[in-house]
Amino acid sequence: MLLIDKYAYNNKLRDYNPQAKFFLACVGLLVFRIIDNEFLYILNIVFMTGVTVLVAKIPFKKYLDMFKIPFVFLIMSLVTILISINNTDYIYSIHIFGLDLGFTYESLLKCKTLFLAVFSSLSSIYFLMLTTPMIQIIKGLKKIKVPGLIIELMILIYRSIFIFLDEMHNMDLAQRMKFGYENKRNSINSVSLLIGNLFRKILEKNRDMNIALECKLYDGEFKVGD
Amino acid sequence: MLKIKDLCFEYEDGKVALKNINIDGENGNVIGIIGANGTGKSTLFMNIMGILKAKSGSIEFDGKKLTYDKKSLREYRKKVNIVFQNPEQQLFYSDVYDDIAFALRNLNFTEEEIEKRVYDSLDRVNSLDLIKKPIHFLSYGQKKRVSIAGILALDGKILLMDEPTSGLDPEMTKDMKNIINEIKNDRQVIISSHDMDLIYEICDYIYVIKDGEVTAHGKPEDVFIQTKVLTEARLDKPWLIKIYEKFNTPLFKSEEEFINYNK
Repeated sequence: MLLIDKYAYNNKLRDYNPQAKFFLACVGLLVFRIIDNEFLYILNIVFMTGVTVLVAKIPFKKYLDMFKIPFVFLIMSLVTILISINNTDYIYSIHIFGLDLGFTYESLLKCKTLFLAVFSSLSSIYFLMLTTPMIQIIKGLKKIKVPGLIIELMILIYRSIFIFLDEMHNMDLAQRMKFGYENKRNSINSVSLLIGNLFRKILEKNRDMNIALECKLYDGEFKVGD
Repeated sequence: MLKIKDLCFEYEDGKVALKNINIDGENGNVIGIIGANGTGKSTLFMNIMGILKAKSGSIEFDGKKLTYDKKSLREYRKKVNIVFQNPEQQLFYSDVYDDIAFALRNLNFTEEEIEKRVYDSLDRVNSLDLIKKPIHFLSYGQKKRVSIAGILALDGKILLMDEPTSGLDPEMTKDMKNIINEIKNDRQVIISSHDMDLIYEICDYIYVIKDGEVTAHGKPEDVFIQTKVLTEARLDKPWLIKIYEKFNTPLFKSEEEFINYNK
């Protein structure tokens, strides 16, 4: 079970109008991004975090944890933007291998805005993800006339993720019970077996699913209803 | 009414899976198919559903022979439905309501009709409280009920159930028995199982399958006293039959009868 999914179904805002939540997230994601104003970004971060943690009651620590992974990527890209080579108006610079490495006032400002923009967008995305069950998001997308093919894909991928994770978890557990991860050598072997088996299982599941689909009178289109 | 005549089936590699199977749906409203693991029960069900195509012999429904073109298969499967052993196999959607509505939406029912049928069928398996739950939050037993509800919503004439009680706890097994007893009021049920006690209590007529062949058939009380047939088919007797044979008491048809009996 995914933690994000668990929160999506068990938060205090679950039954609140999904379209309103969708709209709120879109304001942060699109409108504020187009206006591109730092003050609005900060406002959005404070507001979204406040609603997610205080109103929807998502534990603050878990909420912060979720920012860790995207932040790693963010910091990596910020560093590359920040540092430039052989520029003239550095505020701080070092001289190595005949090159001037440093950062300018402009690049610092640019990084600050970018950081706030990403932080703000993330908080909007997390607000939507943590307060709205997937099925409601899908129905929301359907209302705004997103093509059926994309909706079908979302439904099937979402369902498959859990079957896939479950299968993987079971196999991993069975391998652990048989001492499959005792040292580096057999760990690598176990992982390769796990991946191979997972692949075979997916093909099997696909076959089973096709049989079940036929028995349930599937005619080529997944219907979502309203 | 379902009638299977001299059905033979072979796998692509030439392995014979079913030999001259004859099953007559008129023999009872709840029909049991019993046999050990790997004797061909599931293969038989796949044949009945038209997923696998018989090598020879025929499957008749309401006097009409099953043909394998897309249109007639679709009509046929509106009337003849199956509940798989593994509920996971037939649940596609993320929440219960949409999943039960799936087959109905495939048949283009109106949303009002769908809503009515979803509520009705969930009610019949006593699971109305699950209607808003996401599938991956359900327990195994709950998934099993939802998968049955998804098929009941179709309002077919014949329901095949592959191992309906496998993996269920005693309480859920009892519930399943009640559910089957309720379902049989408006359609015929064909059950494959190796839960002998269940088969004995709920079936009107049973077929014993051994290595792809029917080795005995008849009313449960007649079949389950044939020790030799059962041993050969690697099956066991229901405990009610064992008590009957050991203590010379009357033959009880259900656990209740046994409990209410005073010598």
